Amino acid sequence: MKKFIVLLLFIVSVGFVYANGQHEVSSKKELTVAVTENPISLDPTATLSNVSMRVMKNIHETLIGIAEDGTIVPRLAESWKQIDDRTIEFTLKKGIVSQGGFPLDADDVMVSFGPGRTQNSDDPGYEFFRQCMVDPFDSIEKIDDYTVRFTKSKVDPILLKRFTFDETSIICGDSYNTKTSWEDWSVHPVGFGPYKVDEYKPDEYMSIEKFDDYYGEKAPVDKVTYVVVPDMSPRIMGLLSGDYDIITEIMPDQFSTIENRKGYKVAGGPVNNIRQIIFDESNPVLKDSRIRLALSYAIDRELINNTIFKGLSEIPRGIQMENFGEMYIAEYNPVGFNPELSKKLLKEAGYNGEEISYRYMMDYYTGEVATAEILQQMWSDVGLNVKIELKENWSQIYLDEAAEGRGMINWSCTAKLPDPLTQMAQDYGPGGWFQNHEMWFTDEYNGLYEELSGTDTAKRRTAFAKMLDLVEDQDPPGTYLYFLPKFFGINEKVNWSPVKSHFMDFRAGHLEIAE
Amino acid sequence: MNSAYIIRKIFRAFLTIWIVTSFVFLILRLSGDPTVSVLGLEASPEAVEAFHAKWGLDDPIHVQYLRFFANVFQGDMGVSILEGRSALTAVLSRLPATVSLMVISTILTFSVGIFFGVMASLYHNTHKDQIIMTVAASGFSIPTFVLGVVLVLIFSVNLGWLPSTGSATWKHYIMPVLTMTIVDAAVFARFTRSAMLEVLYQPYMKTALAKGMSWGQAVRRHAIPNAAIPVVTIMGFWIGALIAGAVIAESIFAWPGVGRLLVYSVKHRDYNVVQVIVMLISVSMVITNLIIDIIYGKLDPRVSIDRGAE
Repeated sequence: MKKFIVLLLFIVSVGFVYANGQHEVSSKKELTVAVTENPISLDPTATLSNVSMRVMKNIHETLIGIAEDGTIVPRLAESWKQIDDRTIEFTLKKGIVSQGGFPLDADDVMVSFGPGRTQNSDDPGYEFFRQCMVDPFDSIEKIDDYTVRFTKSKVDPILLKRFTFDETSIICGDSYNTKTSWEDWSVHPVGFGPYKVDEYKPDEYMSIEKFDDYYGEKAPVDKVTYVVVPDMSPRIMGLLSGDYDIITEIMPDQFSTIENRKGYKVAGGPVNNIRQIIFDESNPVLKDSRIRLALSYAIDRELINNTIFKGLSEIPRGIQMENFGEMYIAEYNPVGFNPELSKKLLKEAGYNGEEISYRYMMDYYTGEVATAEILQQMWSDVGLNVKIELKENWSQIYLDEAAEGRGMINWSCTAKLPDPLTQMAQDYGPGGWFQNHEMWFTDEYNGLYEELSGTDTAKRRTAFAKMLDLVEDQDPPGTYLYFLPKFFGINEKVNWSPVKSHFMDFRAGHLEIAE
Repeated sequence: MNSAYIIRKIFRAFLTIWIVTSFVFLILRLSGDPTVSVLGLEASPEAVEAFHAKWGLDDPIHVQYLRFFANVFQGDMGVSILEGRSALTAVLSRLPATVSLMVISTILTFSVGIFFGVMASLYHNTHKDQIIMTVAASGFSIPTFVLGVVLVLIFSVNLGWLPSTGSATWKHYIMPVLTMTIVDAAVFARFTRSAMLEVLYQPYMKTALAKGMSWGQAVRRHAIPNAAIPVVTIMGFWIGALIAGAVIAESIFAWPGVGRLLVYSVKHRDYNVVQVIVMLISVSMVITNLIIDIIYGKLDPRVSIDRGAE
């Protein structure tokens, strides 16, 4: 027995000593990021989620970009000319080559926006492209080798800005036309961004490599690997043991674990996304708008922010963002915390403690579970009988097949552009998710949506203010909670700061790694 | 081994696989849909409809069920909805990582667990026995996920000796293997000790010694084979626990194996991939139990396979 134990200890010791002595030396600058999930596709028209937005702009390039202050900046397009409210023309820069080695020209744009990819209902990228552009194009014309003209079927007040969406990224037409299959292409797309796809294994990792012939300032690291580590504890331990340089989705109660260790920090805060609770109007109890308003008035949003997020998030003024510029209604007073009014509304509605279901998932949104539990208590305090139901997947919450018994669900509303048309207006509007699934509908809102879709700024602003009143104070389809915060654990050798969106920007000027 | 017995065994094996696969088929489809994972929350009803039509999800469930089994009998396990390639290929590509982890863990679990179990019984009621059993009790009292996290805290975070996640080098194997081995080896040590104590004081052991055998010879030739029967029984159940342990270990250590793929595929309702993994697990369980039946016959002639068929 002694011999066995001695042998076992010897093997283990040798293993550890050898392991400790093995250090791979590499002169390459590499960044490893531990994430909860990777996108199911790397073609920007094939998926749209918080997860896909995290990576797309590192791989792909759009015709134009949008700076944090909302100004439009050139990317692949050298110039653009808005001919009228439906028509816009882009002139491409010359001398740009794709990650596949082919020069950029108008044909790449035609393929990117063309039939077979985004224009026909059976095209693989059709659905997300439709969500991004809303109304279809009447025509897309190649004017010359470097000029393309787009004409939409309807007037669009944010036509130019829509060309900053990930879905409008330009792909390499030559590579696309010689792809072996859509499935292969969608995980190994060829674009014009600063990094090109290296390897992709959906539930394991994906890596992107510096594209040396990128037309702009070259990527600051040679390789970025996004490793999938769904659980938070292994992500934190991987960061602290030096396996990962950055980890995503950290909850505030774990901040001290990271910050108490020398060489590590936490960064992040609210992004341009507003967390909401959505009311299903087909629920017999929630048909009455007074009960929906009572649910909204019962929520102490500041308390949730202070309790769950240590005050690091912010409370919006309704479903709108300050960067909407002239469309921001600064004087708007959204529904606030007023438990007495909530009780009064319940009494007026004759509410008798009928059960209302509230479905949520295990922290898809930061702090989702804790928020649900606190909300239940707040509602209970005013006399509302809310049953919280933890669900395993989205389909158990959102699909029509799951509608029976559904009361409230979680939602978040990303402002993909600094304009209300791409946020609340789109979600609640005609063709939006709630109307499509018959959870909420008013003719008045749809009329206001038409006005918001016009080009007269004053009229648009008036329409938007009325929309806010309608969805907050009169016939609420849901209620806002807080700006969704995102927190990252970072090794201090990495100089990187998150931006106010889901995108993790690893392009030049946004990332440095100390030698 | 008569043919009736073999036919009955094979029939039972197919019945088991069919029941398990059917159960998973129904539960998966009744509790979720991959549409939202693929198309996103804001997909239009037309897009959802087109997706359902493409994957045959708009057919009644019994039609889907019959189609699934018809395809299986033709060797077609379907396509992964998320990856767009053969579900079988997707699973097989992850299999080596899981199998390598399982094989090493199995060897270590059996050798360490059985060795210390036998030792504890031979030194019954001594300090050695007490130490081994205290360590074993501690071992199986720790949940696998806690053990894994503790190992990472010690060896990765504090000592910096081992990588916390991944599977690229042999160093990556150490902690997942230890996590899967320690708890199971402790269980085997306890069972082996109990089984050995049952047989060590049987009359046939005294007879063996009276015939002039040494203590060591009697233990090797009479005690261990007799004590092996209940231990072998546990091995059959343990294969199931091993798969569950692999799922946990693969999650903690971000190990790119079948266990993690199963969790991912169930979450996103990638039906065909889940079905392949479940069939794989049930086939391995059935084969393992068949092997154990054969080993029974070898260990104890009274439990002969021929008699089992009567």
